[in-house]
Amino acid sequence: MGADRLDSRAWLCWGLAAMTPLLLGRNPWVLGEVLLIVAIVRAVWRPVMSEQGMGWFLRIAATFVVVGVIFNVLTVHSGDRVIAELPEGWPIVGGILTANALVYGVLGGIALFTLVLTGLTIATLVSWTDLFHVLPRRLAPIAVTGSVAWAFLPQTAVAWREIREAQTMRGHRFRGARDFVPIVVPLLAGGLDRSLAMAEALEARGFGVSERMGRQPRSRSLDWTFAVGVILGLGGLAVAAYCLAVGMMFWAILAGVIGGAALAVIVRFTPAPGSSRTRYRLLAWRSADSLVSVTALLAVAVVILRNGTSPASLAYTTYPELTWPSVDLPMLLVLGILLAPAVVYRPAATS
Amino acid sequence: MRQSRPERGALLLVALILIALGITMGGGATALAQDPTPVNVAGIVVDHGDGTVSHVIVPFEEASISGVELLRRSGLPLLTVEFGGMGEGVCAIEATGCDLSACRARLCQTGDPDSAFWQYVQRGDDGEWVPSPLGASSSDNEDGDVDGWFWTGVAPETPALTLGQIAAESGVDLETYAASGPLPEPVVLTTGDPADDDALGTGSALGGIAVVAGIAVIGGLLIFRSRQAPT
Amino acid sequence: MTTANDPVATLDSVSYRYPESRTDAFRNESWTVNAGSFTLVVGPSGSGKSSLLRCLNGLVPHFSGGAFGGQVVVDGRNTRTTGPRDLSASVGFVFQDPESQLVTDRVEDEIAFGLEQHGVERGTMRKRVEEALDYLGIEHLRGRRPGTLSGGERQRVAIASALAMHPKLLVLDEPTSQLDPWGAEDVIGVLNRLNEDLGLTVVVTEHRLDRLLPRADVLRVMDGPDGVGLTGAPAQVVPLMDTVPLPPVTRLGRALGLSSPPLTVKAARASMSGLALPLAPAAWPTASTGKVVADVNGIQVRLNNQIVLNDVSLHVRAGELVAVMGRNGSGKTTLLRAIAGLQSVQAGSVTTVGVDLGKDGPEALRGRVGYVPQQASSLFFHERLIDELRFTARVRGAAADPHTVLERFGLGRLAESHPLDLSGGERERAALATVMIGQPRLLLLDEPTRGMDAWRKVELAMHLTELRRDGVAIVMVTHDVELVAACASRVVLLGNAGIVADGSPREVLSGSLTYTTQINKVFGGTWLTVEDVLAGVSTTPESEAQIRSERDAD
Repeated sequence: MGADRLDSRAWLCWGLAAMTPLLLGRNPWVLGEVLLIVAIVRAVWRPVMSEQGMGWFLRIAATFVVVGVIFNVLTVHSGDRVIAELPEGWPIVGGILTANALVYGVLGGIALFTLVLTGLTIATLVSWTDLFHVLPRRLAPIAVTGSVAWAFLPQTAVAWREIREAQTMRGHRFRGARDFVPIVVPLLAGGLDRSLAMAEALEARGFGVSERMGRQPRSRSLDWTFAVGVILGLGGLAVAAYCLAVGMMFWAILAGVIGGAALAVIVRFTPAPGSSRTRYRLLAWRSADSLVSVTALLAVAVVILRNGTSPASLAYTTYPELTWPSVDLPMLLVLGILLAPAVVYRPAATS
Repeated sequence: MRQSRPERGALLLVALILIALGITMGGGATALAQDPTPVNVAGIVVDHGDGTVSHVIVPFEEASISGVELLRRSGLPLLTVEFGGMGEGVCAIEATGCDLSACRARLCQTGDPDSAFWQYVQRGDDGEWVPSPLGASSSDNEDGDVDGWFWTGVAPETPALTLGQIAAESGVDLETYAASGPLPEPVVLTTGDPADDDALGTGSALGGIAVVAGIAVIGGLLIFRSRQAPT
Repeated sequence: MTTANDPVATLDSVSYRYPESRTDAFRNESWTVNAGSFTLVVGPSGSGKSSLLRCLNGLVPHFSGGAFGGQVVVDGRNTRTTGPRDLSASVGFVFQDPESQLVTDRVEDEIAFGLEQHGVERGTMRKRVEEALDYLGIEHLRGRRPGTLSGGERQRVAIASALAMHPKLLVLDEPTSQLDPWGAEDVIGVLNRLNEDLGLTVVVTEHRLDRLLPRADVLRVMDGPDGVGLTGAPAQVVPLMDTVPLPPVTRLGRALGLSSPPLTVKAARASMSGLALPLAPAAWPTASTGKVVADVNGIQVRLNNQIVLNDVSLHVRAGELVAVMGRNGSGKTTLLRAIAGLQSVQAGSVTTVGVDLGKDGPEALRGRVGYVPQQASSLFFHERLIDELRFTARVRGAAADPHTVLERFGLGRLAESHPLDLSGGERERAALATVMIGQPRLLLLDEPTRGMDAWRKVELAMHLTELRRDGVAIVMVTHDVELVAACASRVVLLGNAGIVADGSPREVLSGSLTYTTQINKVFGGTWLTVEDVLAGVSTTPESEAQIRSERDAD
């Protein structure tokens, strides 16, 4: 059952399962448990993770958390535990400042941070190349774009640091948003250079050559169908995720159905590219992959079900009174199975 | 030596937040206080939907005040959201309700049209609850009126008591109450036990700690195992 | 396989102009690439080498656009009608930047990528991938992510990916210019083997000629945009071409008037053994006695739980040019960053231009230290070059006149140009000017010659020497031994988290196995540069005669 790598689809299932409770509520017990589990899985899988240059994501997330907490405290004048009071006359920030708002802000921050951490973990452990092969052929360009973008991120992070340091040494001071022009302009110029180089490399290595060989040229209207389909599909799924996050279930389902249908249409009805592309690697689905996927989907089902029948197991609000959050022991226990990836990990035997 | 400054700052901030938290959780002060002279009295029936019902007697000086204002003067902890010019929506009364984001989206309702929200009704002359056509921010409440706030998605079944019945239940003599000097304190009487949710109450916090600690211990072992040389 | 000497590619009066450019990148290129040949294309940056190479797989003009004249036939196909995708099976192309040409997240998949695109059957594909892995000696990297590889490893993966396609022609655009000497050595070794063992036809542009020149069958020198450069066997072309890009031993041979200048150290030993030289070259200026500008005292730096620098002390005086050398990961850049206050130290102290970095932050240094990053263009964000200088002058409160500074770096006529439109060499000088207008007393350079051609290196050495004379202290991290020999006043060699050697270039570089110049390999002693030897020769009249007699014997 042990494995030193998991199928990308298994990782996606696990990521979905870890993110679902974070999107549905802010019960501190649940947040804390998920954060702990994600941290454990990261620690266990660290030997096979390569995250150079990814720390800045977490730093940005941490910054958002701090800013979010301050913003929440200053603008939500509600709750029973008053810390301080600002003159009512002050626009927006005037009024009572409460511990309720503080706790709420901190919980929101933890949820956001855990989401970013989970996303980062998944993106690092998933193989874009595998996804490239798992996705239907018409969607392959999406996987290649994702792969290239993911390769760019650490480079961009490194470039950002280098440029910032160079401009600082030059004597520049960063105070307001406008002071970031000296970073952003060279960063964009460099990014443009790199994306041109990448496009050139793809072209020179024959990317997409099989789609044109052995088939008459694609019609323009089909290209349009494809473009609209992809936008509608991915857009729909993004809207669905947002609606799910703010609790608009009806719209979430509607957008999800539309997005899924659009993707299904382009996969089914736009003609498949020439059948000449082949696969180098056959993906093996192992028992460890099954275990991780099944436990993850089970956790998702339990969380969604529990959210419907007993909202208090996931939800928690600090307004209007600051109270202890409710504990849903059975659900906390079930969420524990999200440790599955950490359980199945075995280091690769070194030869 | 130098670069660690921002990190240090962040740590300091977190520490300050935790200290502030400790202080306020320990013994916070309740804000909200009123003064001037009494004239009118109205009643509120708050049904939390979990088996607890609060009956409140609220004094006010104006000839008439809105439903939200009346509720606010009851002193019950309240979370409301401002909808621009369209008035205020009630998200939570005491611990019942939803958080701001869910409140802004659909006033706490989920996709299910029967899901609970804070329904606002007024007691009609015929002893029935009547939905207010104007909404709680614009309704009128005069001396002797009774408002209802019910956490439910369906038609309310809570008895529509008169102000007199509420006062009698709370042991308040309305005449002396209305005349009793500068504006008296509102009177709140809560009856009933919170129902099924009780199982999840603070009582099982120990259980929660046990689960999280268990996961931490198992996690530690797993991390330890992953660091061992492969066999 | 085509038989030897059949043309794999022919260029017929090819000219090309970039879109929106007023001048041609190159004109009238007419030459042939024969099967099994090794063609080396040489020329300064901006001479159109890269565009010329891109004609061979149709990237020019299909990808780049612009005005294309003449015709290129590769593997029997005209590039006007066949684009780069379809040519990808016949022409393998390796780009300059190791970071932006790998597309998948596994080395194995990377090598299979092109094969998959061309629908090669799986059994064949597995065989080809294994072959390519073995041939390039990268079998141990097969499961790695390209992002975790070193530059040299990445370039070898790129070559393996091209090789797996069984191309007729392998084209490489400055494949080693972004690599350290060790990575470059690996890549060049592979190229030699591919050509020698497999008979693969290779066309390559490169700045490091010392290893490739002896290997090349055809040398194409691009001098100007009009196609009048030289083409031919190296033995014929070398005596006629500009000496700047030639390896030091070849340059020395040219300077001594040898009719067939040596191309390798071995050949130089043979042809110059009779050269009579004094015991040692003229003494170098002694150690600087200027004020200490950067004072590093017993610092320890830990990164990711590893000790990168341990108990390192270094005092840099005004007017010194200190070259920091050492293998990758030896802490060179870390030391530079510590001096700049960008790297925290766990023990010891750093005082830079009088600022104790342990007490005051790097903010206190702001503007008093000049720092040119590896990517010089990282500095630029204005529309005009002159504004870049004005910006630095303003934030530093410097009074110098931007025009005077530009003149000094030979950029006077480019004051109104967009900084990103400058050529590579101009950008480098523009970056120096942009930093130096603030009149810093200390200048920090991180691998300034990476990707630089020979002409630009000569310019850089000149400007650095001038700055040094003005009393500026310079600390430069570099792998470039020839540059160090040409202009450094002191060399600090790092290894095993500490300073292994610290002294003048003569002391440190002489007799070293890894860090020494071609001239030192030939003449030993403390001889380092072509100029040393030439000066030595002129002091001993009899050697003149000896060389002359050798020349007659030729």
